[in-house]
Amino acid sequence: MSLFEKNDIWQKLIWPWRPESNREAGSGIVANFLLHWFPNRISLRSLALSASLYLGTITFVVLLVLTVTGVVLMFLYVPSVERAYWSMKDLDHAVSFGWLLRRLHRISAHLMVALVFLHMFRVFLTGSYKAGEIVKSARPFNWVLGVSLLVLTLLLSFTGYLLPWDQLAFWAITVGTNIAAAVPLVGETIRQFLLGGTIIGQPTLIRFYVLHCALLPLVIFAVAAWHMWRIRKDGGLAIVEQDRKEALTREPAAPIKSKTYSVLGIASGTTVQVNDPTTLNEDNSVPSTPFLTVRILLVSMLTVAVSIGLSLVVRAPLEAAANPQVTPNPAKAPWYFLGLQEMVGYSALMGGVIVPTIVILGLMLIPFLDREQKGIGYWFTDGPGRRWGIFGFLYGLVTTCGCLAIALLAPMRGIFPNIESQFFFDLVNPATFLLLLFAGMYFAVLKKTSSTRYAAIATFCAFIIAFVILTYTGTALRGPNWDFYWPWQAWPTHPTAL
Amino acid sequence: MASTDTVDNGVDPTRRGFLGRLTAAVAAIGALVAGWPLLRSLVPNVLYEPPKKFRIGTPESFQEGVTFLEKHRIFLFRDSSNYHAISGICTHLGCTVKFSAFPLPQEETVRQFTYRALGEFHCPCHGSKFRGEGTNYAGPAPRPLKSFHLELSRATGELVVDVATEVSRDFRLVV
Amino acid sequence: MIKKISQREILLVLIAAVAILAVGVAAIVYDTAPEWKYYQSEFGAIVAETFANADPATLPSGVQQIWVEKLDRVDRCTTCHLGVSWQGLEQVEQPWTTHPMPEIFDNHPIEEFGCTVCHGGQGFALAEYDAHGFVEHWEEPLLSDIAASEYDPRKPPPLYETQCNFCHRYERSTEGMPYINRAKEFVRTKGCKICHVINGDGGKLGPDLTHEGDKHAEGFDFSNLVSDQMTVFNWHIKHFGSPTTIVPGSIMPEMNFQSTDAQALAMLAMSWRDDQNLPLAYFPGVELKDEMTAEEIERDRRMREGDGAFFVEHSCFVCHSIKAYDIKSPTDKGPDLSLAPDDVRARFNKTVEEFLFDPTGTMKIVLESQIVLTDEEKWQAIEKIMKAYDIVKNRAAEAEAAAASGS
Repeated sequence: MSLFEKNDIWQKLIWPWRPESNREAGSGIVANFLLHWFPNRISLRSLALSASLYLGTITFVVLLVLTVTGVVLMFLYVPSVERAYWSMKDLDHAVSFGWLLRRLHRISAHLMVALVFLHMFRVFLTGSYKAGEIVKSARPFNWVLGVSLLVLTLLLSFTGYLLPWDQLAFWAITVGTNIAAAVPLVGETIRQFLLGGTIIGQPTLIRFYVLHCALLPLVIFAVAAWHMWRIRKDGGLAIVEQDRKEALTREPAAPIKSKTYSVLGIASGTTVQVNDPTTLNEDNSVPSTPFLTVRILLVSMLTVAVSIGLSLVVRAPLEAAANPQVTPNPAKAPWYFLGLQEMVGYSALMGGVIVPTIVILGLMLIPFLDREQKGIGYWFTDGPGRRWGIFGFLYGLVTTCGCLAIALLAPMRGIFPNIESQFFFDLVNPATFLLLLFAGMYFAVLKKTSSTRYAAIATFCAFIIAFVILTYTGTALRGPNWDFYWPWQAWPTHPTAL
Repeated sequence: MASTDTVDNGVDPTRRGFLGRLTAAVAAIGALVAGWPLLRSLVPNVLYEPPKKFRIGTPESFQEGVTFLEKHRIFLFRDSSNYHAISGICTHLGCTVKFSAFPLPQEETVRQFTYRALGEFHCPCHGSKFRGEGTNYAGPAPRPLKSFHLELSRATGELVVDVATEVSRDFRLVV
Repeated sequence: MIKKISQREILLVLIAAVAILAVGVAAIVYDTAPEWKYYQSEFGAIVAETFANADPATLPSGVQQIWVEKLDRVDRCTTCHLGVSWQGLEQVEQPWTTHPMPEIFDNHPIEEFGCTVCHGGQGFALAEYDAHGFVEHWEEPLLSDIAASEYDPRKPPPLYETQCNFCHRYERSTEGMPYINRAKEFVRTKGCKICHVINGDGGKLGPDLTHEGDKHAEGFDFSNLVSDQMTVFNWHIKHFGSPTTIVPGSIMPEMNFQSTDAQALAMLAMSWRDDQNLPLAYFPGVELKDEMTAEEIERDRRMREGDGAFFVEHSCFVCHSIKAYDIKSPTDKGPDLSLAPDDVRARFNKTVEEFLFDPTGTMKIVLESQIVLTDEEKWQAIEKIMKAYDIVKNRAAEAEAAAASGS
């Protein structure tokens, strides 16, 4: 091959990433499949780190790491109750880089759950679930898709948790599926459908394996693709609302000729761009390639580097082989469910069914309960929003610690020793108190400010801190027999055989 | 000949239209029919689990008082010729409870039921506590411990426990 | 003119790339330099020093493993413990040394047993601490002197005997297991089976101890154990010392077992584990053979090894019995060879010798194609037949004499 031809191929590979002109930049996006998701130009406001902290990107990269490590692990792990634990031990000791694959997969799983929560917090606090006034976007629907992705992430993590088939896995899933059984009427049926029987055994393992490796990944990638497509369809990150407002002050909006795309042809109306007054010019925007692509590349590389780096220092535990006859003390669900498990300790119905349902439903309904449209894209919306956020944090802190104190110092069964009705204790317990206190706060703030947004901010911030405190309590402050231990108190040593 | 222009409520009144709607309806039902086996196959008809009804030994082989059958997670109580079986699985989240014996057996009345209690049950996982006849009185457990049906095997005379059949807490098998 | 990316951003990407490279290389280096490579190269040096004509190409390299499928174990100990089966390395230090008491491999071949079934430890692992099992969540640590010294620094009990007894459980006494043997004697003499079911039978006053060794540490109550050693082994030792201290209200009599006796009994109790999955071949003394009477066994032995063995080896007995030697033919197609001299004379008018060297009829075909005897063998046959004839004649004469004197 002559030097000339080689240059040609090289040029062909490189030009979308290093465009020589704005036109080339735009063509590059359209011509390259890997770039097709990006728009031609991106507003400087969207590009800024503070707009999104790139949390969505980081989460997606972590999902890709999980998929890649997961596929390799599928060659090395055997989903049979006789062989699963053995294959895990071999991964840890006898497979070259098996330890790395395992640690990377596990740390990425935990990171992803944390990241989807952080991403949700960011989207809420910047009000990016709001449809906007200038152009009616479908961001509320995209928020609902996002909450679904949160649930899918938790399900993926939960199904994967069983696969090592050690004591931690077996009993965490025992606890988790027993929480599911707390649903009235159909709870036991749900539990048996998940387990493939009445006890946790081979049918359970293969069910969780297929869900974890095939069905849930397919669904999560489909919903994630829809989620990202919706962002493009809505014109980009919500902060572009500020670009639109600014554009309105410059010149009147003119409709742009544009095609309308939809997923299954169901969408009605015209595509957002047609009515979008945003004029992205040289002052307020840059071509996506290379400016956004380089940032995405940077964020991805840092995410991968940090993930691998963490894998070098954080070990992946593997406890003793699963033993249905021996319950470890304490027996805990995965960390993201420990807040629930703590509340289930007060009442299985409240903590296992009602509170999670209200939380998921409540989250999904946020964009429909709060229809104010100001300050979209700004953290906490504005000054008062920040103040109500702080109020929410403090209120959440005080009430959660208060309900915890009641649970520890004044258990309901001690206060009402003569009442035998289980239903009474399902209604009167610290979890219900917390729920009522938060609901009360929402309405109080709403009344005082007449703003659904401020009330939402306060309640959401209270929810964040309650989630953090309850999870921390379940993780670090509950020891054997679910007794309370301060962080400086040592847990009693575990007896061993020799 | 009626044309598709003459439609009322957007429904094509011709034979073609009717056949089309009928086909769509049949296809929809067909899809459900096709989907049913996919879902039903995931509900097991047979289970590779230990049998729900099993023999645990002759009545004489059990000592007076309480015996914990570790494999089955059941507490077997014997009071001379009266036998009853209480589940050792905590009703909260499924951990195995421990029996905490009293120094001396004592008469107890729980929910209008009087009996001789040898001890009570404590669950190590979240601190649930149960009286000697199974009633939950502390911790997060929502329901009392189950009592299981006991009978004598006609074939061998051994005690047979049936964990698929619950009985009330005053059930006693008199041998 | 198009806007260009700021140099700062390109620099950041470069730093990110370097970071990935760094952690990637760190991961590769960590995996490529495991402990055992050092031990294997040292082994090469030791062998070169100790043996004159050792060929370095025959030394094991890479991960070594013994997969004992029948015991559902895999042991990778020999990756570092390279000299275990070698003779001549007794003076070398661990991990390269020869196995002490190498005669144990005579009836415990390493391919059938592995290492951990006797010694404990984590066979999966390839690093010292993990392999020796002194890590969290591995419940069968190495039964080493170091572990034993925690219980008795001056005379550490041989904890591996606990594992020996997993297979040797039903033997009354086994060579090489002094502690367990002593403990078994206690069981016989102190009446343990009166209150406890042990190895399947016994009394019901106390708990069934048949699977006591499988009882998980979580199932023991340590609240009355005043010691920092919260181990099941220690629980048993203290319980054998004074049952009512450890289990208040216990009706087990105080037999005051101390030190080595208590240790031996604790080791015995912990050796009683569920052996349902142990293949029969591993139980000493279990022979899977047809049940035969003593006479049948003796008869078979005589046919194979007695005076008439010649006729069995050369297949004559397929058709011919020889009652003088208690050889019983399965078919009796031909006449009894004890009477051959008379027989051959009567039918063929020949001596046995003449007939054997010049046979006619069926025997001609047999001796030409099916049972081809050398001349040497034919002479042996003749000699034995003549002797058989004498024996039969003597017996007949004795029988006549006995009958005559009897009547």
